[in-house]
Amino acid sequence: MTEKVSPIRFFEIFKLSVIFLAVQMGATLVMPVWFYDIIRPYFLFFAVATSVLLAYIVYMRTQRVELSYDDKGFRLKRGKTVESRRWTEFHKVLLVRTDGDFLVRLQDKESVDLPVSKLKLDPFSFRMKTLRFVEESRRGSS
Amino acid sequence: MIALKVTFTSEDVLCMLEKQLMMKGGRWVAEFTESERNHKVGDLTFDVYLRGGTRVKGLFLSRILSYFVLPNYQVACYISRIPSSNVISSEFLKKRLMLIRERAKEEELKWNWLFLVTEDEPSAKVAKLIEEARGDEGVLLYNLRSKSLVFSHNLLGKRMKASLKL
Repeated sequence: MTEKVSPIRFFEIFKLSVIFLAVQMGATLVMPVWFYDIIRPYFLFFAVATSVLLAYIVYMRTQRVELSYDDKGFRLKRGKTVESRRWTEFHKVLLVRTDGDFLVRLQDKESVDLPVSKLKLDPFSFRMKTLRFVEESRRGSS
Repeated sequence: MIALKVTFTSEDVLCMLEKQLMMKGGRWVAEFTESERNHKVGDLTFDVYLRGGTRVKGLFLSRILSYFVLPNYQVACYISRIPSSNVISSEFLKKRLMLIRERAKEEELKWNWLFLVTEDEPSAKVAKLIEEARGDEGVLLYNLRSKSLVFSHNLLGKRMKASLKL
């Protein structure tokens, strides 16, 4: 049975919103005064709404991570990039800690990182699950 | 009244040790960044193999501090389950420590630990053997039933013992 994980990271959307809001605030400095006077009553509402909307669109297009997997393989979607692999393609499973995130690194000739922290999965138990998939699929293929 | 007894399997303990080393107290000793299960060294298989370094990763100030204050050593920790502490002898330890030293030489690993996990209480003879383990490697024996820890009385053994909350 295929399992699918694709949590929305609200903090990432919030961070992007703050950036877009700051850009819009900065834009007011170079705006003609007559134009600023027209939009001033609605500016804050407009700026916040467009920032959140833009942040959501950018997040969904570039940063959203979606992982679907079963005992045969997995499909990892990062933004618009999709990568589908089979567990048999790998022989080594590592749990890697980067600055604050955990990754499950699948290795063979090349390596693929599954961003478990971004997927809000427990890194230790997901690594064991992955290890079991890799070992079972290699046993089945040999 | 219902009494609940929580029993830990050796697999749970391995996971707990990994967490301790990678996320909790172990970070006072070294920054373990990679963990591998069933790692082969020579003809032996260690249940968990952890690798890392002594330079702490953190925010701006802690990075600068660790860059100037801490040595840049590569480190490794080998964790192995053993059926009983009775299997531990000087030959048993010597074989494992030799393999660890060879690997350390190949990969320039400066600090190494051998962590043994058992389900029974070690005898006084075994405890003495661990405590007096020769060499620079830290050797630790953890009893998952009584949660007691026997460790080598060298720098690495003492540091690891002081950092872990088992």
